Amino acid sequence: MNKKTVKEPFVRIVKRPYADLKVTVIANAAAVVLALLLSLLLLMAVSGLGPDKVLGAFFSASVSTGNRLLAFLQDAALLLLIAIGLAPAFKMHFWNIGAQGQILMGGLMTAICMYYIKDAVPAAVLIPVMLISALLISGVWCLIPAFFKVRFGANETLFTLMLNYVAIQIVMCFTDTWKGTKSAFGVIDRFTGSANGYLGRLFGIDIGWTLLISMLLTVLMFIYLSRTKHGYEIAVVGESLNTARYAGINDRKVILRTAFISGAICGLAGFLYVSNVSHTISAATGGNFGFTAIIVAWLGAFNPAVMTVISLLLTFVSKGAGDVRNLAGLDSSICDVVVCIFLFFILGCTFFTRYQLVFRHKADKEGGSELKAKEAGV
Amino acid sequence: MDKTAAVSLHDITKRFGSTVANDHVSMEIRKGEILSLLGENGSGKTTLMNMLSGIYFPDEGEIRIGGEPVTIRSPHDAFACGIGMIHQHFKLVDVFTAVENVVLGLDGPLKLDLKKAAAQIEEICARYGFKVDPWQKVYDMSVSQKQTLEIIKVLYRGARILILDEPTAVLTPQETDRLFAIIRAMRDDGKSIVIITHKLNEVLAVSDRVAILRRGAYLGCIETKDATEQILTEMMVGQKVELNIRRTEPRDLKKRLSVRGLTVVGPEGLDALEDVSFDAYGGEILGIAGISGSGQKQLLESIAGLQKVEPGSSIVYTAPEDEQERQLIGRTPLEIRELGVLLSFVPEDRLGMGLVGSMGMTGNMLLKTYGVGHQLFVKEEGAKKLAEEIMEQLAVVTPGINTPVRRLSGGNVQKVLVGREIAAKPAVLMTAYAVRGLDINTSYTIYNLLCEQKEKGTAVIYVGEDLDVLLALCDRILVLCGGRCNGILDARTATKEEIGLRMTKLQETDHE
Repeated sequence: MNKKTVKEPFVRIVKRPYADLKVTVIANAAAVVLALLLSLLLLMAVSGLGPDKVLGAFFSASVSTGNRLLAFLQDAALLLLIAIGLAPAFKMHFWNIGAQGQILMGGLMTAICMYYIKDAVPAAVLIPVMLISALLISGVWCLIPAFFKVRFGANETLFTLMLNYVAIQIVMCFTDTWKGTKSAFGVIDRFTGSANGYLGRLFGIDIGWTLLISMLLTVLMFIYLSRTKHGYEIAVVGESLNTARYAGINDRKVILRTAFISGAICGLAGFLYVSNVSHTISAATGGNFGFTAIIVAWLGAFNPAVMTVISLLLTFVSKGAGDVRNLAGLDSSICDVVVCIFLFFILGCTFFTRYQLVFRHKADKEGGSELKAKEAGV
Repeated sequence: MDKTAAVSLHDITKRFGSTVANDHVSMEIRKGEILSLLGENGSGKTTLMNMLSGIYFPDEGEIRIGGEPVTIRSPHDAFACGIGMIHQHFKLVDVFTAVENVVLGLDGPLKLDLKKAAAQIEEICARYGFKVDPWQKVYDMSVSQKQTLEIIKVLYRGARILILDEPTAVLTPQETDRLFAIIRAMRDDGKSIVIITHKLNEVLAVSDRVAILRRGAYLGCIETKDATEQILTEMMVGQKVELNIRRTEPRDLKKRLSVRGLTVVGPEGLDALEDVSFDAYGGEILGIAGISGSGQKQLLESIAGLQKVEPGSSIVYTAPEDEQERQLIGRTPLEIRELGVLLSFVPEDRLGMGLVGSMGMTGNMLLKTYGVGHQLFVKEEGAKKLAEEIMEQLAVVTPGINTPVRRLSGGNVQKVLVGREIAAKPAVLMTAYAVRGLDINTSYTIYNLLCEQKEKGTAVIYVGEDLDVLLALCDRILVLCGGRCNGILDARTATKEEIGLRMTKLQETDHE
């Protein structure tokens, strides 16, 4: 007989009986702190600057002046708005990764209205026309893959992704036509001689409308998903199509409707870019936000309240890294690296909220008794 | 029989989250015996044996082999200790031959000597009376041959202690007899054999001793010669169980459903149901028997409006309030409901169709009623009250009515589903495999709920797999064979053999 004695494993991974709010908060806070430390060390190492300079630049990027604060809020609000658009689709297990294209189509439609209508109608007419046409086209841009999914079983992930590139080409086609192929299309009023269609200042802030609309939609989406009949249907369809059919839910209708809403909210972000934020359109409008918003929606577990925190954090980090980069003249990739460090830690900490580690000697005493105490608590 | 212990377990505890799968289990397996490990679903039988075979590691406690403490961290360690387990779901590579499967995963020289291994396999076969060709591919083997190969695999690795997890679940009666002969031959050769099972007749037929687990705790071990089915059931369940169903004579029969010429084309383009006709009456339980996949699912889903049916099919519902007839074919579940049809359906796939796993009891109560009214918001008050009522009346064990039902045990999930469907006060109640995977007590709770519904005048349709239960519970039994109705029998006079025959062979003369 083989008598080789093998020791008990040093540490074992035990699933937690349920998600503990306290542990979740502590783990996430620890993840953010650790990510911050590692990011600062990395920034110091590659920039050669001292800790005071790196820290100063990192934290002052978003809050030091009024303009910086506004730029920070503008990015966070747009990122959040796009993520809010993705949330209902994702909750329904409809993987809309075409936010980029939906933003561009919404923005393009806004720009087309401004470019061709100019001063022919007053702003009170022009702006609603811009808004409605932007919502319609971007809603349809997401409805196309949804239609093919319910009708032919097409894969919506690939379909929505591919439509991004179609939208980019369409936008380039228009900007090239307007300005010629030599250079990018500039700010709209310089071409049309009219600022008709610009969303004006609100609360004395240039981007007031953007902030207000993002906040409003965040609240509305929270109510829509958690309280309304539509929200209930989305949850059932996302869980199981068979259950939805059994319950008498018209799953095709729900998928088409939700896809339209998802696309339209992304298009609303495009409308705000053109009408309120940058007053121009190009293939780069929206930057990477269409994809970053996917991360925001997932990390926030499609809960608009948590998504708000996540979008503020991610924007803060990328602004901070951007300022350090400018100060030290680094490559732009450093911003992505820093954002990824944060994502790595935040995602990694879910391991600790779902499982706990039981060490060899504690297994009999603490690990066991702790669990028993928790059982008694239930 | 040698009374010394081959393996002894001391205070073994294993937890999964808050569930205690094994609670301080101490027991022994003797040399040269056949030990049955008996317990209901979820009592921790397989978990306990998985710790011997190295799949799990115990949270607490000690395992001793021949008196020496050992640590088993992997199946490799288990083999080194002479323990081999034959799992319920075979772990074989289909495209490999028998001998390739046997040597798979073993240490050895770089060059495989399959001929030598094949010779050893033949020697093992000769010793115990197996019939296996070492060069046969696994995909060519029958279920019983694959099981034999699994046994050879562990014997080849030198196992002296063999654990078989529910070995007869997949075998025909003849194959079961052959397996038992093999098991006895191995016992006589001095090996220890553990059989994990919940079938009492097999326990009594083959084993020397019976060890009983209940909710993770070890209750003791009795000699098989002292045991009876009644004693074992009571130990397993923990209380006196009345194993009978209160079947009353059907009274006041009223036609509720009339199915005529129902034909459904299955996913492969073959007829899943062909020209099925029957009536279901309020005040009786109509059983539906058949080998699984004979069209039971399509039959119930056609009635519920979830299945596309072929032209010429007819399903007519007669409403209890006005005796008006309504055609259900061509309507969606929502249209059927809006027509005033009081139809409840407990589908086979509880969490994948009947319930929303991520929602609590409250959310699930709303599944068929959330859309009532024209307001924008979902009204939760009624559902919350209903959830509380069901929780109390059916003794659903859950931390709260908002705990996702996915986290409840199978029996409690089924109580939530059946409770909701009965609360809708149905005129027709359809259930598919309503007691699959449930413990004995919950099963009898469900049977008696169905009997109660019948006495209230509901037409109950019960799709089942256990013929003894179908005969004891139902009033009439419709036998499906390959998608055709192969006779409707009176459950009070029919025999198991008769139903079994009709399940497998179409009766040419017997058409209504």
